[in-house]
Amino acid sequence: MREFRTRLDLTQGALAEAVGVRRETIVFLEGGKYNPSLRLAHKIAEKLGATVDELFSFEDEQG
Amino acid sequence: MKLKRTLILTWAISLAVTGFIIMGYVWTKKMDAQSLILTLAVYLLVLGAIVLTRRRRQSRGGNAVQKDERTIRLANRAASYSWMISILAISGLMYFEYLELLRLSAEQVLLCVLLVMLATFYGARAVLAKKGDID
Repeated sequence: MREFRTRLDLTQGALAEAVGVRRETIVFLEGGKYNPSLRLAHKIAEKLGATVDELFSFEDEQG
Repeated sequence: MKLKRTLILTWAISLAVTGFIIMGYVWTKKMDAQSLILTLAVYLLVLGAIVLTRRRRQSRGGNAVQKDERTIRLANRAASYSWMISILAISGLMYFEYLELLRLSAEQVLLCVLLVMLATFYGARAVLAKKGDID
């Protein structure tokens, strides 16, 4: 996600404002510490011109 | 639009609370004029402090979003923990009362519960916010 964001020359704050979340949420998302809702994932993907699959990967913890 | 709605809501709640305080004074007659003025003054001070804190937070963050899905999720989980711990605290107080280890008045119990709820809510929220998510 960071890669897509920097490619568009967007700061974390600008992306956060564009998708209507706090900057910390973007920080946690980029650090892989927060699982976004489908709605937020879609908004971010739309803003970054990517697909949800390209931005986020799902790991099944239960195996 | 959202700010206007929030302001109207704040004023409506403030008026309602003021009304309740005055109604309590007029109907119960248990409160003297000095207590009424003191209650209203404390209420206005608390309200003023809340409004100022919010304003300061807003001016520091500019147009930044104050709460989002993550913070709401964390607050909900923190409230759940707070409720659970409060129930345990009440059970503990009841047990102490049953064993006659502790004698507390109703006011003291209410204060205890209030403090436990506030402390556990803000504590849990701070811990969860550092973690980032509730999983």
